[in-house]
Amino acid sequence: MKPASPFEEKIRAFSLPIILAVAALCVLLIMVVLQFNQLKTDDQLLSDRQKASSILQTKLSSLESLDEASQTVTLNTTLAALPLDEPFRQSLLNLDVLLVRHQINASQIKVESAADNLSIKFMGSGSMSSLQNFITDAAKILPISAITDIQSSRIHDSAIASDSASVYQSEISIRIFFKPSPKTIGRTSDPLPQLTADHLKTQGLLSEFEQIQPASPDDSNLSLPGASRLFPE
Amino acid sequence: MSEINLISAEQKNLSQTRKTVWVAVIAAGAILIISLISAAAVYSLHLVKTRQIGQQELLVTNLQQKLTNLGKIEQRQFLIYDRLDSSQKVLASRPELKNRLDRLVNTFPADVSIENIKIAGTDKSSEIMITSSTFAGFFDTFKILRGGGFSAVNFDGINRDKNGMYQVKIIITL
Repeated sequence: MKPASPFEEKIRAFSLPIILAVAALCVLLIMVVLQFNQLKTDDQLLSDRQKASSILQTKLSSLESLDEASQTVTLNTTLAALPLDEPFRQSLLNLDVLLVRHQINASQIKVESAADNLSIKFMGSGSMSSLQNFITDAAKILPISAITDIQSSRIHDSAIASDSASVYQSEISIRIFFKPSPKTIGRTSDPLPQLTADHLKTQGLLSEFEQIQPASPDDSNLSLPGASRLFPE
Repeated sequence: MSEINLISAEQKNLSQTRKTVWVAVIAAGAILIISLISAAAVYSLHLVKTRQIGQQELLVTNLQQKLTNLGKIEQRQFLIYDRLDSSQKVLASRPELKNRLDRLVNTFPADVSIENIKIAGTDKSSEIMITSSTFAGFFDTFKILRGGGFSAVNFDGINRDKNGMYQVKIIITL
C-alpha cells in the first residue's frame, strides 16, 4: 500500500473539523432565520392583539359613558329628522298642520316617491305673507324637507296695490328626505364613531325643529284638533 | 543523526496538525453550543410571547363579550352618527328659496304688486311679473333693483292690461 502524501494526510485530518464547523454554521443560520421569523410573527400577533384590545377597551369605555336616556332622545330626534322609511303619513300630517296654521287652502296634492325622498307638489291659495310664513315653518319641521319650487299667481285682484290684500294661487314643491337603515353598522372591532363638533351643531339645530305629533298615536286618519285643509270632514 | 532529525520533524509536524484539528473541533463545538443556547433563549422568548398573546386573546374575548352585551347601545350610536352625518349633508344642500322669496317680496315698493312669481331651487334666477297703476311705481322699482345687489336684472317690455294696469316681467338673478 502506497503511503499517503503529506497533503492527503492534511486533508484527512482537517476534513472532520471543517464538516463540523460548516454543520454548526448551518444549524446556527437556520435557527437564527427560523426563530427570528417566529419571533417577528409573535411580535406582529401580539401587537395586533394589543391594538385590538386597546380599541375594544376605548369603545367599551365610550359605550359605558353614554347616557342611555339622552341617547334615546337624540336617536328619536335624528330618526324624526331623517326617517328610515318613507315618511308618508308624517309628511301629510305636517303639511296639513302648516296649511291650517297659515290659512292656506290646498286644492290639489301629488305625492311621488324616490329612493331617498318623497316629493309633494300641491296647489294652495293664500296671501303672500301666508306663503312666506308657510315656507319659513316648512324649513324648520321634522322630517327635514326642502322647498324646491314656488310658482305663485295673483288670483284676487283687489285693485289695491298692496300684496297683503291679494290672494295668490301657488304651486309649491316640497321634498321630504329619508334614508334607509345602513346595511352594515360596523364590526365589533371597529371603533365607535365619534360625533364631531359639526354633528353636535346639527344635533342642536335639529332639536330646535318642530315635531308635529298626531292627535293620538294610533290615529290613522291624520285628523287633528281643529279643521283640516287636506282632509276636511 | 540525519534519520533522528527526520523523525523528529515528522512528529513535530504531526503534533502541529493534531493541535490545529483540536482547535477547529473546539471552535466548531463552541459554535454549535452557542447556537443551541441562543436557540433555547429565542424559544423561551417565543414561549413568553405566546403566553402574552394568549392573555391578550383572552382579554379581547372578554371585551367582545362585554361589547356584545352593550350591542344595542352601540347600534344606536352608529345609527345616530349615520343620521346626523346625512342630516348635515341634506341641510347644507337645501336651496335657499325662503330667503330669495323674502328678498324679492320685500324689494318692491308699496305701489307695485307682484302678479306672478316663479322661483326654482335648481335655478339661480327668478321670474317675477309685477303690476302698477302708474309708471312712477316702475321707475322706483327699477332704481331699487339696479341698486339691490342682484347679479343680473333683466326687464321685458311694459304692457298695459285691459284694466289699465301696467305690467312688466323681470328676471332677477341673485
